[in-house]
Amino acid sequence: MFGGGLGGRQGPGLLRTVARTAVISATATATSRAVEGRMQSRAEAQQRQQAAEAAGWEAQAELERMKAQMAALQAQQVQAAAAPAPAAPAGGGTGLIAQLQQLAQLKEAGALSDAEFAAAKAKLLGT
Amino acid sequence: MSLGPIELLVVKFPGNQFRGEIIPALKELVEGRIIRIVDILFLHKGVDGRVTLLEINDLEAEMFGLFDPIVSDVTKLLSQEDAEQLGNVLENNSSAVLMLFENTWATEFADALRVAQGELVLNERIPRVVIDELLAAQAAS
Repeated sequence: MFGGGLGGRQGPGLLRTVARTAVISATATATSRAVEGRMQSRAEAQQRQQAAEAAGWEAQAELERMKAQMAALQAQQVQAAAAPAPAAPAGGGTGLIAQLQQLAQLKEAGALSDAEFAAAKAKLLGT
Repeated sequence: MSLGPIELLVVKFPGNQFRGEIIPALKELVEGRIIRIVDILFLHKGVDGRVTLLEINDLEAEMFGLFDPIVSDVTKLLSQEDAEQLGNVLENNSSAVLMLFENTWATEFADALRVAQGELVLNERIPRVVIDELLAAQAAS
């Protein structure tokens, strides 16, 4: 479909690169602005606050779920320790990995500090 | 390479002409060190919808003579894929110039800011519709 001299124009594409980095740079900008308390339009600030609140609530809810799960797991561990032959519970591995992943997500979301994450992880692993 | 803010400009013309009339205005911008053209590509879409891509040195001698002095660099940052995408939205029997230019004025201004220990806090192009809305509100009050 295309003719003409196209030597050396085999790059990734300006428009495609713009589209790809728009997501990343928009986030970076929003993040750096929020962190550095830079100028924001009122609408933007509101939007961001709503998003942050939503994320906060989600993280909070997630944290509550995690706490409940950890309590359940601890109860299991107590039972397992009391049992004469503490075999790993069937299917427990998947649950544990999922919980570890959730923990990592919480840490990434900032809902858990490094220390909290380490403590929760140690509890999960029973170490 | 010290490179300032870069913008993409796509201008389309009816028919199969890259009109030279834009040259004097562009030349003024280039010579006034307001912009620096860092890439340029020419597209032509025939009556049959077939798109032809031309580098600056594929142009006819007369057109080449007009464009060449104002193009400072052909970085080839514009790719074939860009040209294809932009070609898709052109009407049949039309031509377009794809131009990537550096806002030289902004580069020099940014250098001056740095020297003065100024820091860029915000730089946003305000959409025309926003300005129109504000002007209308001003007029109404």
